[in-house]
Amino acid sequence: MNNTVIEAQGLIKSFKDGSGRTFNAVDGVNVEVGSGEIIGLLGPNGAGKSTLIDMVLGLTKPSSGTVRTFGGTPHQAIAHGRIGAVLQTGGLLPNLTVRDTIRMIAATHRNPLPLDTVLDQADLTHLADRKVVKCSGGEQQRIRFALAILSSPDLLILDEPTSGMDANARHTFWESMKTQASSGRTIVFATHYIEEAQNFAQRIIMVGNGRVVVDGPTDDVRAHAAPSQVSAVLPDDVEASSLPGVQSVSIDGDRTTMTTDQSDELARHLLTRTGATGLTISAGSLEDAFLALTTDRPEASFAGSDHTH
Amino acid sequence: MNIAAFTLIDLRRTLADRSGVVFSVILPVVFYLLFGAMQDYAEAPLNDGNTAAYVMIGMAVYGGVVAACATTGNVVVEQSTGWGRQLALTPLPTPAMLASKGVIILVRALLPVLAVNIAGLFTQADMPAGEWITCAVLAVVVALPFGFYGMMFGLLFRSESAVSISSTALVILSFIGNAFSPLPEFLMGLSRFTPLYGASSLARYPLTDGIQAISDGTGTVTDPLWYAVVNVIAWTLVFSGACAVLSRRQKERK
Repeated sequence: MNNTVIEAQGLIKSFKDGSGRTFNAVDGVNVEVGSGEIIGLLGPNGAGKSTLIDMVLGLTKPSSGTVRTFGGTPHQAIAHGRIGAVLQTGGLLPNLTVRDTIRMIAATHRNPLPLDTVLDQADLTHLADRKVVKCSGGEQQRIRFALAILSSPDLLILDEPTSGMDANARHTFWESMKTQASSGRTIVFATHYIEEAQNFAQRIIMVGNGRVVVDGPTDDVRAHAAPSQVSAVLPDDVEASSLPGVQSVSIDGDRTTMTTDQSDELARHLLTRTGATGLTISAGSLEDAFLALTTDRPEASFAGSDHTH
Repeated sequence: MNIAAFTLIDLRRTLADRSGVVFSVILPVVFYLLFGAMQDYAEAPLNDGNTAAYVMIGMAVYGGVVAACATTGNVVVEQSTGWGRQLALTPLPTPAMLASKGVIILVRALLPVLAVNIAGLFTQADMPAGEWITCAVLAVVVALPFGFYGMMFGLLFRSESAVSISSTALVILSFIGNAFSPLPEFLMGLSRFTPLYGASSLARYPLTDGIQAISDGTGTVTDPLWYAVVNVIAWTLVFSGACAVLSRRQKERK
């Protein structure tokens, strides 16, 4: 059984910039997404996230390479209502009510969810008769979400789904996404909020300059890319930089902080072979990993990390 | 899939723009009353009808054309705000969407044409019923190519102002196309090459058999039917061609 939801091979999209030079917004992306995966797509502005999403949705034609969704073209998957998407720039008609907006898009689907169900799932029931133009940014984002789930899609693609939402609304949104995920949907979301990716995604794909910089399970990405910090008060006779696995050392008073990607080994060594005291270990955050990966290294991969589950 | 429901909501939304709709209906009616019904020449006979009927058809065409142009202009502006992307994510096939928009343009164009013709019924306008109906139907049909005209401006300017620019230009085109008040004979040579000449001459043909009112000489000239037909076809091709080129150019840049 083929349960590949998205399959992108050698995907390139080039644009002409103002001076007529071409540049590759997406520059050779190979990605495979399996059924039921929840993927966080991270990358700085202009990294190519939105262009990549546009190609997966068939809104933009690749300059070269192929995208297949559910084994067919994106267009076919859209026609069968298998993909729902919340786009960053997905426009809404300002003078239409929330209810009419949903009814209008529902009319384009074969078997849309009942209006009340969608309103409820997107927490819009109390706003149904309000005009879109009178809705806040976060509320409009919920309308886009409502439109995305109308066809009960197998794949949900969300480009910055929580932009314009306050902390409370973001929390509620991710709670409702958990419901979506538990029904077995494949979810791909692009976000600026690294915390959201860390909390919700099982797998992280980081893009920078149009390329996939990192692709792996969230925990692995964090562990591999962002070194842990081991901090302790060391006896005078221990030279921190010569300890196993230490990448860098900083000293603050009598406390020495070492960065390492082998925190367990280093801690064991310190506690069993040296007289180190007051030892603490802190895991690197995804944010550190993100910064490290998108600024320093052009490409990194985790051989052997199983990211298709 | 329910195209009818889709179209109906869209239509209701278009018609919810009260001021736009009222303006597009009232203006041609007022023009007809001012330049047709209230004039001394209103009851002057013209073939089987009278001059008021001649003016009425011209104003109906103007009204239909403005409505068609404003409707598509707004559609393009909407598309550029991202609604087009939203629709592109639905299973709605492009032909179905075009048909849906066609219905909306038709209804929008129908409103002013109906209004002007009703105003004609209650005033001096007179011609045989068959000709009357044919002229009214033709007035709606010749308005449709101006959907492309409105789209062209929308693609060019991509803002609300596109609609007002294109609508204002239509007033000038109506004068030069001899759809409003009669032009002096020397301008007819130019007039015949302008888009509103074809639209108004064709819609008037059942009544006039080609007669054009002019402001000097004997007061009329008679043009063959093919002038109007070729004019309408040529401008339809020009407008639709311009739209095709512009939308391709925009897609490449995007």
